[in-house]
Amino acid sequence: MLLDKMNTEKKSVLWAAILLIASLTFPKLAENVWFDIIVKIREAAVTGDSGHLVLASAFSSFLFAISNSLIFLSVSQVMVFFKKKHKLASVILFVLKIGSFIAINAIITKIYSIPWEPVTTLVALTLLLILAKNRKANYGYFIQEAMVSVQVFIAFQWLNIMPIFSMYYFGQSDIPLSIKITGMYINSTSMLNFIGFCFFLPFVFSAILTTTLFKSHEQNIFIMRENYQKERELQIMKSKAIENRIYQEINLLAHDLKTPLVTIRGLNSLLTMTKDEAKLETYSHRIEGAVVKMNEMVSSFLYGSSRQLVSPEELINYIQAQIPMEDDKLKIEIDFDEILPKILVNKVRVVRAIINFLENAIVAPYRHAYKYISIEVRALGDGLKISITDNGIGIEPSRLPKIWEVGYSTGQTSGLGLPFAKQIIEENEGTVAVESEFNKGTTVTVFFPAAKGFDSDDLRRNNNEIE
Amino acid sequence: MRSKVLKVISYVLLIVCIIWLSYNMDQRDYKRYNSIPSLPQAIGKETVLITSAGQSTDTYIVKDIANRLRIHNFFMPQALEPDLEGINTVVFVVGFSEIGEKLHGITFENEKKRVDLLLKSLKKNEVTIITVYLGGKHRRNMNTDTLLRMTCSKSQYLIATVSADEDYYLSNLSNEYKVPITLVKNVKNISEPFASAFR
Repeated sequence: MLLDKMNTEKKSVLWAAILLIASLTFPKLAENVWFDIIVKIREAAVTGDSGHLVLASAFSSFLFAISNSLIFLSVSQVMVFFKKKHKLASVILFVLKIGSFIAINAIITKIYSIPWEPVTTLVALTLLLILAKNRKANYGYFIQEAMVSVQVFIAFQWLNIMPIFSMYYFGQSDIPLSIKITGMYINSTSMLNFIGFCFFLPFVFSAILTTTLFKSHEQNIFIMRENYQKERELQIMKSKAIENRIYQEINLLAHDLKTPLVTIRGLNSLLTMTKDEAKLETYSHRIEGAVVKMNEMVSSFLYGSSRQLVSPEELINYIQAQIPMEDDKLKIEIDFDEILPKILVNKVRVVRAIINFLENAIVAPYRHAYKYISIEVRALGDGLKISITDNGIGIEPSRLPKIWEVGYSTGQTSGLGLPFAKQIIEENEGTVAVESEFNKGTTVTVFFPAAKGFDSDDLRRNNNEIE
Repeated sequence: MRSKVLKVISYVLLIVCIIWLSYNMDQRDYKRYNSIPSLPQAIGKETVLITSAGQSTDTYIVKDIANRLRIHNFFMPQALEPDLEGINTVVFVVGFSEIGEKLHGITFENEKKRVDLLLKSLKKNEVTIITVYLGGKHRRNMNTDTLLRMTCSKSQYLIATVSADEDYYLSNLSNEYKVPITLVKNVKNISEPFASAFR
């Protein structure tokens, strides 16, 4: 709990202190093991059993490795603090690391008269620093560094007992030297060389492999974080785009509201002029009708779950009102069955969705002399099918599955219309499908189930409850 | 890819060179101007006391050699004056070991004092002293050199490995104290000169 509250620098200092104390007390705690090693070497000399020498070598490598790892990790944690707090250059940190590592080792050797192997230890330290190069001290780094350092130090300590490396000042201290002299006496020089290599190579290989894996993991985490960040940014952008779409819809609604308002205004001016009571009643009913229409439009927009019983004729009229009449190169044909079922939908929203499909058909590029759009409204099974077919260039099969994705566009549109329209259709219990043949055209088919068991009064009551 | 292969080849060549060098360096000429292969006649008599000067594990090797040569011996790494009763020859196996001394709970000063007292007593009783040093050049340090000088000054024979005499320290001691010296290539070759001291 306390560790969680501490910042990284304080944690580093705390760990460094703990590890330093551990490295200073470890030789004292391990004193009996050192003595045990001496006893094993003596037994090897007396019995001629090289197994004792292997055990003594293993114990000494382990002790050297633990002691050096503790010092290394302690120094490493201090350097993490210096790096973050004082922003020291890498070269200075490198020198400081080596310097403090040697200094602590010298102090421990002085205090406890425990031998240390300067050559192998410094070579191991150099390899560790190379392996740790370009790594970031992020979460889990300490454990990773501990695992690698133990492996590297164990590996290099095995070189100390190899007589073949004696001339390079490997294994000059008391224990490795005793092992080598005894090994020579009991004719185990080759065995010591072989055992040394057998332990050195796998440990070094394992340390390098472990570091590579940790680095690769670190890189993967970095890429994942970057992707997550990008995904988040994309989501934010999409949300903003949808928000803009809603504003666009509000604008369109406001525009649609102007029609009944104009009606009300006109009728109102007529009311002031006429004195015919019959006409007054007619105008008054029309004004009431316009107000009801406005109310329906606002309700439909505000409450997505509000539903109205809509006749296909009404729907067709709405659609026709949106068709641009001034474009000579645009031919739109509407064909519908005589008997069509009514549907129960949010009128304003569904009309906007269908107009969206129609707008897409209008703006779709084409290679013919004119753009031909066919709208078919048919009774299909137990519902109503509306198909919009154009003679545009169509959509490539590979792109077809992506058209419902937010932000996906072939270039002419914002990429928000189709997903928005699909969402509305599905919210109103409908389905939508797109079929396209490249270079021939596209057909959008919308299907709504027919309204059943509802009369207008039920609906009005239902919508009033929603409001 | 090609540069990586070249790198691997160069590393392998480096390792091969190191092994070759180490093999060849081991074949150097170990002859020294005053080293003798073994003693022409025995100088020591049984019973032998084998003791340590510095508490290194090398003492146990000498004990094993003596046993193999069937030389009647007592093995006392920390022998004191009273232990010299009935002893005709004392073998000092020199080699300073910090852990060895710690294991026996003594300091270097204690060890030096013990060796000094033993040497004085031995000189007084005209007991034959043989110094053996197996540590090579790496165990040579100030403490080992001090002990070597102490024992060599009273010894009748000095046996050591040749690598210990790279700086001619042992040859100089031999000259200085007129002690015959035998330098052997490695520990395995010590049996012959050691036996020559008794037979």
